[in-house]
Amino acid sequence: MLVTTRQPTQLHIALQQYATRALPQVQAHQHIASGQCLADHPNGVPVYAPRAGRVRSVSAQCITIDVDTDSHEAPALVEPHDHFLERVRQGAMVGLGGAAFPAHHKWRGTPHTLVINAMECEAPIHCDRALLSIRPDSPLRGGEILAEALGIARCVIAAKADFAPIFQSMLPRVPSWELFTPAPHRGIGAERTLLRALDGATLHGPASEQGYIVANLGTLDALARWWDHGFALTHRLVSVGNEQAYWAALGTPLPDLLPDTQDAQNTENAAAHSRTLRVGGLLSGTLSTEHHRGLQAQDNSLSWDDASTAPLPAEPCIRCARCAPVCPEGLLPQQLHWYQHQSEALVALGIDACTTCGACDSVCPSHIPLAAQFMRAKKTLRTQRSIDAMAERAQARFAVRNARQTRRAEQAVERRAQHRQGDKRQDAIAAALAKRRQRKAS
Amino acid sequence: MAAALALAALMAVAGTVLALLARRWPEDTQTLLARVDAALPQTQCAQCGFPGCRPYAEALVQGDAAVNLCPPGGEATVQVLAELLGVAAQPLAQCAPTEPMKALIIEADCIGCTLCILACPVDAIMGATKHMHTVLLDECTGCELCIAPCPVDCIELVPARLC
Ligand code: SF4
Ligand code: SF4
Ligand code: SF4
Ligand code: SF4
Ligand code: SF4
Repeated sequence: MLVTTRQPTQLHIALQQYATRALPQVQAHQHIASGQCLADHPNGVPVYAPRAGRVRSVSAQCITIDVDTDSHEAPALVEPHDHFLERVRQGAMVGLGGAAFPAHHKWRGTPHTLVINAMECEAPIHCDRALLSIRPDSPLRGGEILAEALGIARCVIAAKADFAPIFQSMLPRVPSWELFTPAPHRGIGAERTLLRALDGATLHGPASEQGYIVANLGTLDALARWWDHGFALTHRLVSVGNEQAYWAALGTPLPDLLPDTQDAQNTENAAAHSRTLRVGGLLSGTLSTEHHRGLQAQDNSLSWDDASTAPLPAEPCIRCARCAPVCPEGLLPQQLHWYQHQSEALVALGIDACTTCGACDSVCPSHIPLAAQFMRAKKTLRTQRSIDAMAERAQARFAVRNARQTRRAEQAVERRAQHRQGDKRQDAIAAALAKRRQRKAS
Repeated sequence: MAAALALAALMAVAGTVLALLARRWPEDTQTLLARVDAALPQTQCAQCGFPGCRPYAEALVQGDAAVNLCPPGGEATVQVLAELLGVAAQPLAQCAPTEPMKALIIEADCIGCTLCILACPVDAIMGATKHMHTVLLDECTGCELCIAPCPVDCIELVPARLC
């Protein structure tokens, strides 16, 4: 395993976060120090400069920095907060497993069990392998910090067979911890599937609501580096291809991390330029031909999507039902496949529980990309649900507004009527006055 | 023969009673109205010629409007409406929008006249007299009704995916 660091010359730091976008706090042409806060948002996490340099440009999406040649990674220039979760936020801790979900949201509540997820099971991602080869102690230290701060009594290291010996040798440091090595199974690394294998727990909704924290090795490493050395999350390990990994600053342009693109630039090889890049795993990753962006916290793996990883052409489903017994969620993949465009049927078949683990793919004799279909179906369903929710809100708001307008119109009519009544009183007074005057005169 | 006549008479009576019930049963029209309303996209843009989705739904249920008048709903909505109301589907009367949009107020140019607030059918604009106004993006349906009333032309439509 080769883990290298790269000195970037330019950084494109994305401001988009899990559910919000950080607001820039620096201006173009300003010189910034390594570890300086660049942007923040109360609903997200702060963004720090991985290196010193000069801000080239600032937009709502991205801050571009020209990096000083001799600059290094440095601790964040902030005073650490006393409150645990606030300090977690301050360190820009987000889940490095692939979702980049803010840790201070995930680690709320009163958990009883911490599960350290060392199940890395989706090719070609191998950040965890890389991490264990350079600083195996660090994730354990992160686990200790988390368990102590939240008063978690039970800590379980869920490690795949390759990693088990590494953790076994470190167990004497944390004697009360358990080491759990589940039977190898596609999709076992998914939070829900892992907890079922561990405790037989069936999850409805987030694990944290049922007292579990499932943390990725990279996230715990980041926590340990923040707690013990003051480094906020400005770097991550990213695996490239099958054998290489970089310790890279967030914002490093992806081409700098792909040796093949450097070759392509040198040799002007147009074919290599137009290749498709996969960010993430074979199943959960996304493909793009847009390579010129900066590395983000959720980018765990970079690889080329070429013939060697391309699946065999799919053939029609022969209803052999081999896919059903292997599904860790007890679903019927052949039925989900059959009804893949009918959202009501999909919901009834339990598509929401599908973790898109691909266990069904691996046994399908027709090479049907089942998990990919289910991922698409889930996405369509999500979009449809958000549209429906919006329409429902609009319907309610329209009704409220109409009711208000009707009420106002009625009130206006009433006021006018009252006003006229007022006129009548004036008339009565005038008439009485006239009568009185007449009587006086006569 | 007599039996057949009696049966025919019974069927006629039952049929009339059922037809009357169907006409007179307010819950039934209510649920149909609710289902027709729910089938509409709730953009409240009035492009159908009615002041909002609910009024259009009412007209549809009463049989006073064609099923092909809602551009935001597109052909899919025409199909659903035709099915619900048991009439033939027709091609859409105006072309459907290509993608969902949202209104965005260029806040620096807003003079705070409140005209857009009055126009917005879903209360998606916040502001006060002579102060800057802004659109609540989560609530805006992109109906465009606020665009025309703005005297300084400072409301723009942007694709929802960019918001
Ligand atoms: S349906 Fe397939 S992808 Fe989904 S959970 Fe089951 S085995 Fe995994
Ligand atoms: S394994 Fe493949 S071919 Fe067999 S039933 Fe499942 S989807 Fe169909
Ligand atoms: S055109 Fe469609 S979306 Fe617009 S108000 Fe009429 S029914 Fe509603
Ligand atoms: S803000 Fe404008 S476009 Fe959006 S819902 Fe209100 S009136 Fe329609
Ligand atoms: S109509 Fe235009 S100028 Fe008037 S308040 Fe709205 S946005 Fe501002």
